[in-house]
Amino acid sequence: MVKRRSVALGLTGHGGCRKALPPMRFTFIHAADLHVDSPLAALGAKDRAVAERFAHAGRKAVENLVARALEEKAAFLIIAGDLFDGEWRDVSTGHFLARALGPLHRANIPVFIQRGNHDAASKIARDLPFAPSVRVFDDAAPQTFLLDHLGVALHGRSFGPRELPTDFVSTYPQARAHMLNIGVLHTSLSGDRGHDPYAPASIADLRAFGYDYWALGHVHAGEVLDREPWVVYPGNLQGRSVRETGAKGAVRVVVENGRIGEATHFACDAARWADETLDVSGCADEADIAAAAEALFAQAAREAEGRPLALRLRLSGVTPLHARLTAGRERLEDDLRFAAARHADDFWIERLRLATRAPQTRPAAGADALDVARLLAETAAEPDFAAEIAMLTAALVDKAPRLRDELSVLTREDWAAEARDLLIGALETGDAP
Amino acid sequence: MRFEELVLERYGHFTDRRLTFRPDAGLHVVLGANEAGKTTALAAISDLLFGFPHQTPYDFRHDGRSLRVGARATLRGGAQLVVRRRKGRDRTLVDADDAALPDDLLAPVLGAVTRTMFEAEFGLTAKALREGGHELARAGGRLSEALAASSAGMSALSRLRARFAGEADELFTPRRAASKPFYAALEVYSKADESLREALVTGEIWTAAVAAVKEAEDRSEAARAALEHLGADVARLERIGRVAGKLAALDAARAELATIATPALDAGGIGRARDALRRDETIAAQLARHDEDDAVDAAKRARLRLDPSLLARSDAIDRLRQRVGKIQEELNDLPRRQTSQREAAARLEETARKLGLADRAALAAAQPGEPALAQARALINDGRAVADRLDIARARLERARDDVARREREDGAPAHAVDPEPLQQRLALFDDLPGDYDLARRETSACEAVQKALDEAFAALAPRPATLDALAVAPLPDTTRIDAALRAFDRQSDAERDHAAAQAAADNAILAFDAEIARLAAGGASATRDDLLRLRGERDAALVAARDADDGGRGAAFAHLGGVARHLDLVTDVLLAAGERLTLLQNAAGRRAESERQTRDLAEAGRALAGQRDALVTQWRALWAPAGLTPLDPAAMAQWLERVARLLRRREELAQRRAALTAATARIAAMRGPLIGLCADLGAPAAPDEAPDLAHRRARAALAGAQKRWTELRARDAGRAAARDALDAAGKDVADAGSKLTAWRAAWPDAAAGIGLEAGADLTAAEAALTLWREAGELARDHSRWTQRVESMLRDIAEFEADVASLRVDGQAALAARPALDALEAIAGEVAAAREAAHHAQALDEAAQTRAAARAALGRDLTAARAEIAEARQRLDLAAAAPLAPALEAAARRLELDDAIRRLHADFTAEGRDEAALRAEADGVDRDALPARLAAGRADYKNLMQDIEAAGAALEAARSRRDDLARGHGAEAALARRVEAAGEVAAVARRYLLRAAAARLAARAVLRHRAAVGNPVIARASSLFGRATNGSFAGLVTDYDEHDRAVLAGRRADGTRVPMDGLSEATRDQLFLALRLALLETRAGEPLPFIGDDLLASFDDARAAQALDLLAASHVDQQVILFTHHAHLAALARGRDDARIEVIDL
Repeated sequence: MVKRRSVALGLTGHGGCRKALPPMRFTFIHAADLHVDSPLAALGAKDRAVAERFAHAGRKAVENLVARALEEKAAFLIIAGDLFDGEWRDVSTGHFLARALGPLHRANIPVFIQRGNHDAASKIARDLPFAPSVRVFDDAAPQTFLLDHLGVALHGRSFGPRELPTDFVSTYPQARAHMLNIGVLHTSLSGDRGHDPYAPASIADLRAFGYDYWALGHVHAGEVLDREPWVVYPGNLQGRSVRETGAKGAVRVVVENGRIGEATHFACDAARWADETLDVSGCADEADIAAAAEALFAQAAREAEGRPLALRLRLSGVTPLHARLTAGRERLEDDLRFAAARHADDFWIERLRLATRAPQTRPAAGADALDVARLLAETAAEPDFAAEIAMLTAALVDKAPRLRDELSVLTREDWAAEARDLLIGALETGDAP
Repeated sequence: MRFEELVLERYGHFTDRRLTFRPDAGLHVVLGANEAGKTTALAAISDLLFGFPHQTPYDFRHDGRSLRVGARATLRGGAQLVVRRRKGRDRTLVDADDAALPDDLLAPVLGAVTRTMFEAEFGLTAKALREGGHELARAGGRLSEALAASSAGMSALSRLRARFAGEADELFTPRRAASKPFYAALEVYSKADESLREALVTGEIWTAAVAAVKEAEDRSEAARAALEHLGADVARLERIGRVAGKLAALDAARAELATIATPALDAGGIGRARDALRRDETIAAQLARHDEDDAVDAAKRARLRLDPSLLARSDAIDRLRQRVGKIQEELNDLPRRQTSQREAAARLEETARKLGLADRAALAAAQPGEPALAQARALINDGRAVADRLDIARARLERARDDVARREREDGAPAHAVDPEPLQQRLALFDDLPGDYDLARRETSACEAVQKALDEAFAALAPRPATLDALAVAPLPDTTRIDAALRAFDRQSDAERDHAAAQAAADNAILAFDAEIARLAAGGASATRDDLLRLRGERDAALVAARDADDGGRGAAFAHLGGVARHLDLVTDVLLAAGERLTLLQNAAGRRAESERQTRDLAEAGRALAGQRDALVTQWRALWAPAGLTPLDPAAMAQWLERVARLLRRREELAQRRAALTAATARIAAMRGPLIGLCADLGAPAAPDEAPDLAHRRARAALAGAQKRWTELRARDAGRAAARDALDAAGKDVADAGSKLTAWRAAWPDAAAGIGLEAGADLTAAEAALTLWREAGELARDHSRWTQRVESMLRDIAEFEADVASLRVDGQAALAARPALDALEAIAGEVAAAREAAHHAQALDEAAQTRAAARAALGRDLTAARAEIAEARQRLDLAAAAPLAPALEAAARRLELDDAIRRLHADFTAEGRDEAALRAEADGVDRDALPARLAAGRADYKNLMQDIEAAGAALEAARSRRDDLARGHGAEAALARRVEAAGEVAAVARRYLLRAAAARLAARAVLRHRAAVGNPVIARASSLFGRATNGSFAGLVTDYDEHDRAVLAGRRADGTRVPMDGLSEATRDQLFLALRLALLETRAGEPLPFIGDDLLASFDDARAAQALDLLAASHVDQQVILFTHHAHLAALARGRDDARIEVIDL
């Protein structure tokens, strides 16, 4: 396997096809992982209107994609897999997509769809009323669609209901001579991107086909992996949780004289997620933290460009404020939400996470009867106390079994430490009644 | 660490101020007046040890960067420490030359002590001391709480425990309560989940909807094609029917037109001539009526009576009549007004006599002014008020004396009661017990009932596995497959039902056709056109045979020909007579044959449906085979599956309820020991094996008694104080009222003289005089008003009579003898008659003028009409004697016929064909058979229209359903709401868990603290407490009560033990101080100075002296610095004559 070169999206470059193709310039759009109607993670937003706007973001992103293709007068649109979530059973989702792609048909912009692993498992992805100009790659064998007027050959193969053959990628055909060859492939490549492995391949494997552009899907983080040939993940269309941050959308590819000229990522998302870490080790108090957060919020709001924005703020660093922050976390979270709302209408702090640590102090020679912090730390470390937390957790899980996973994100020791810091913080701030 | 010197180099208002401490002194009393800098010095010690805060209030004189505070101190091991502190972010410890010292230089000295801890634990104010004493009281002697109360940090920790426990309980309790945010969020989640399930459009639902649309489209299309074909045929027949009559009408119109000889005249000419004839006749009649009216009106006018002179005075008479109402009213009122005038005069005379005056003239002269009356009235009121107030005050004084005496008799000696607050707090820990008992009782029987219901429901299941547990794990088909089977069976049933309906319809149609054929056949001799054609063929053959027959056979041949011809005539007659009936008969026969063919096709389809049903049943049974069940039909099994799902949910709920029941039982058992201990503390001991709920009730009752005693005691003390206060207040009121009465007596003589009374007149006489003077004024005003009114009325009546008399001058003698009002009424009657006659004459004159004008206009119209009549006669070419009217009628008929012919041609054009084409289309069509053919066609058309209408409605419904499903029911939004709801449940759970864990951690820490420091602190505090109480107590003692719980109590020198609630407030303060000092001494780290801030401000001298001794006797390593601004405390310290005590002036 050749060493992979990974470059950031948005850069332009030259390379790829060296064949003699008709002198013309056109643009196509490469998208993947639409996951239409896949729910966004819980926001905890008390404002119903904010939650509604986030809830509709997925569909709005699809509409944005279609609008951009129309605006660009794109020659065609490629969707490299995972139009839907596998387990989602509402048929109207498929009909929404079929309707949403309708304007492209009316504008004579064909759409080429590969079914991904989610689509293969999906019941709603079958028999959709797509317009005739929407073509879906076969799953029994690779299929090539030719656009003779553009000199383009699109090769692809959908995922089928059966298990993928181990040689899935190798069944793709060799490049057509005197054509611009585009491979449409839903793959995790070597599987090291945090996604389930599907259709494994290496860059070298792909290069061997002699294609000019590999339109990949499956990995939700957009990335240009290579330019000789172009190997591109556009990322998913709409971020769904704080694990999918930043601009989400598709890639606009310009073809000039039969060569890939540039591949530029553009945003389609209708709501945005951000996960920001603020080092508060230099902050003297909560006011300092709020001031630093305000600057961060201003930057995030600018980058969101008017979209609804959900931001998880993580406070880090070694600070003597650690326990106070723990004790006042909820209040601080509320304050930060107010602060965020000043920067944009739909700016919501999804959660305030504390990843701060108290400074290490040199332990005193012996136990000090006045040292409540030490007393609490020693008490929190008692095995019996961990058992008591387990009982508290069990009482909750007993009433709502789905909470088991949610509450087990933190260990008993974590909860003990949080309880300890909550008490120490309340003592330090004089918050005791 | 002991300070030997504290230097405020640049700090607050100090510059180079040094405080020197004697190394061998145990206690330093620093005396500084208010504003002398006592607080500043205290802050300086904290800033020295822990650094300046980011913002300091002590940089108002010296710039912040130049602030300096320093000290020289000796550590426990004898080492010397010299250090200075500047303000800054780091490296703020400096030496004498401002060179930086290590930041952690003081770390070995301070250990774990923070600024907050130092100020809270090593610093103590008088207020904190008093609150500490109260905290000890609330702890109620329990060792853990008492020890915690002695430390500010531990005390705060105890309060935090209560706070977080309360917050956690607000969020969640194991017992379900809709008001708890956790359960509210869980409910929202359940509803969101349900909404999602309702909103989902599954593939099966969609497939069924699409299939329904296709089926409906096919039906609709087939019906429309048949209708189009039939429609064209019916239209042709209808057109033939429509135009046949019109063609005949056209022929008739043309024939009549040929018979009319009168010349043509246009419609306008005919109309004008007819109008002129009518006008000529009408005008002659009107002229005759005018002549008659003139004669009648002239006779009426001659009979009228006119009186111009009377009419000339009518306006003056009307004005007089307008005054009649007023004059009549005054005549009526005058006697009553005159009586009132006389009565007012008499009452004035009476009032004058009552006031001792001669008459009403004297009364008027002596009438006092308003100021004199007001002054007298005010003094009378004041006099009565002062007297009343004095009486009331004296009565209150008497009652207050009685009340004080009664309370002193009844209350007797002071009583003692215990503050129930600590016990109440302990009892609150068991608040959940009744709920747990209730839950245990309720759930025990409920679980049994649910189990029984479960067993019964399971037994009622059909089909049914061996056990409920087996059912829980049986591989049952999912609802999707059940739904699919249900729909398949439904479709099958629909198809079978449709088939049966079609079969019945076909059978019914055959029966109907049979009946129709029978009815038509019974209507007369039957013959068909086929019979006609056949007989014509026979006739032609017989004719040929007769022509070709030889002589021998010719007779028979002609005889046969004759028979055939008669038969043919008969059939022809029948066909002609009943052409329509026979056509219908033929049509019915044909449609019956079609129905028979449909019946055969339906029978074949029925056999195919039966086969499909068998296959469905086989598949259906195979679906249930893995679960070992033989299913009923799908609808029943769908309900069965729902029942099973409910059954299994109830089984799961039962398991959860049993778990909750077990947990509640365990909690109840765990509360028994603590509850029995609480009962004992409340003075209501319970047996060791007493049930917890009984013990809980016992404890609540005992606590209620303690609260009642406490409340009564406090109420009694408050009552005593209030009674004494009331006695004092009543005495003051009596004295005040007496002085006011004296002042009034001095002012009274002048006021009495003002209303004509002697100085000695009493208040009753004065009030009577005041009343008479007020009445006299009102009576005088009444008398004057009546007098003016009577005079005015007499004047009005006289003027009226004079005006009426002036009307009689015209010699109306009869009127002169009558009263004025009657005479005026008679004259008015004559005026009205004269006015009516004048109006009538004027109307007659105007009518005559109108008729004259009309007569002239009628003459002009008559001339014009006769000219038009002459013109018409000329155009119609009439002889002089010929009448005009008949000629006009003939000309009009000619016009009508021309119009009818034009309309008929327009109708032909509207049919899309000309006259010739329509005649050709109708030619050869059997007009007799036309109605029957049209009736049959229309019947078929109507049936097809109904079919199309039904198919269209079904198609619309199917498409609407499909389109609705395609748009979705908002499942994606419902899913988002469910995700949000799940997030909210988790968020509430996290908030609860953190608070509950914190509350439990705090409780455990308090216990751990006691275990760690209990014994040494109590031992040292015991010694200090004995010294602080100057021997009143020998020390402290720790005991264990019968519940093996450690409690703290004071111990007298004779061994008597005094519980915590038996200590006075002052003694508790001393105990708190002893515990705090003992706690500080038992620390393992470097001792830090103990700083008192006006600590003894509220102590009397004796207790302050004891406290000074206590502080001086503190641990040998513990430096005690007591800041105060009370000079007497400094004097007291100096007066102790104790070398361990040093007094410093700030």
